[in-house]
Amino acid sequence: MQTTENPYLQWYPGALALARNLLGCHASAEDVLQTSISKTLGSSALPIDEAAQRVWFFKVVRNGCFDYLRDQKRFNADADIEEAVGFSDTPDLVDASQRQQWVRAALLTLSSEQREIIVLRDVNDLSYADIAHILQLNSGTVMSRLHRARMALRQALLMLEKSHPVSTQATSATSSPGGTHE
Amino acid sequence: MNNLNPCESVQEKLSAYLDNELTQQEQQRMHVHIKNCPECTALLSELTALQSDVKGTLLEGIESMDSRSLQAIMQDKPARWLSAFGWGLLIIGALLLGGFFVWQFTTELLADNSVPWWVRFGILGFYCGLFLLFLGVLRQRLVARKTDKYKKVNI
Repeated sequence: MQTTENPYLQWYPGALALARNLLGCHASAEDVLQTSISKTLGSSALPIDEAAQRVWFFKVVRNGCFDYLRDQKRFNADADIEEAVGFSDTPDLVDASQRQQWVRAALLTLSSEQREIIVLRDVNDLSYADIAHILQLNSGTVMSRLHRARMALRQALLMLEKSHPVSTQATSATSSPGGTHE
Repeated sequence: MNNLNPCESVQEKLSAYLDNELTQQEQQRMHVHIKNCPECTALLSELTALQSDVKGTLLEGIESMDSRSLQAIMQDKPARWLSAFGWGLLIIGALLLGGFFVWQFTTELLADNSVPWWVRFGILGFYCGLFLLFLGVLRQRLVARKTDKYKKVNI
């Protein structure tokens, strides 16, 4: 009867994006998420504050992903993960724009550490302090790691654009910069 | 005296500036530099576009694949209305049936002169006592539910 008040449902898409980027498989990510929700609901140490619940939930999801990978014996190195799961379970790309396909392809060139920090910030809008808490880093490290990750993503996108010069003009309109930042 | 290119030190903090995670003083310093530096302005614009592209790409991928997600299933409005309507009917039916049986039982028991009056009142007292005990437990549960700090996380 209180499904609309369940806080985890509003964070479901972002948490699923995080799990998918760590696991590379949509079905496994959903499994991990279901398990994480069950764990958080059954836990006696649940924070009362909603912001703290959010951070805690993402931490549980992230740990759930690592547990899953450990169970699958695929957590030896980034290369092993990507090779093992192959990132073959990407969504249907027919409807995605060229730019979105490039962004997806560029993300795959990053390490899982870089992908997860980008997903936590850009998809879930978590603050640096929250990300630091989830990743167990300090805020300064979050700042530099996130910047490096974004620069690596930008570089990967530039490489993709250089390798597909014909379609660059067609897609540049969809990704045109939104002006200066205030 | 710092001989480094000022853009190098600024660009390290460009992401934090974009995310509004710098102190007010640093934010102001960055703003002044970016205003006067086309290179940093261009990079900031690129990072801003990239940020929204990443969000759009990853969430759209999930939403298009996830039409039967837990979120969609749990927030299905017809199912919630049907559930509420079903509970309402169930409660009304239980109250009517319970009331009918209690009324029948009480009138038959009180009208039955073949059993001594003190036995009839004993039986009635026994059932009334059970009902009052049930009400007591029900009240305790309702009070506990009302003050339960975890009730919002029920699924």
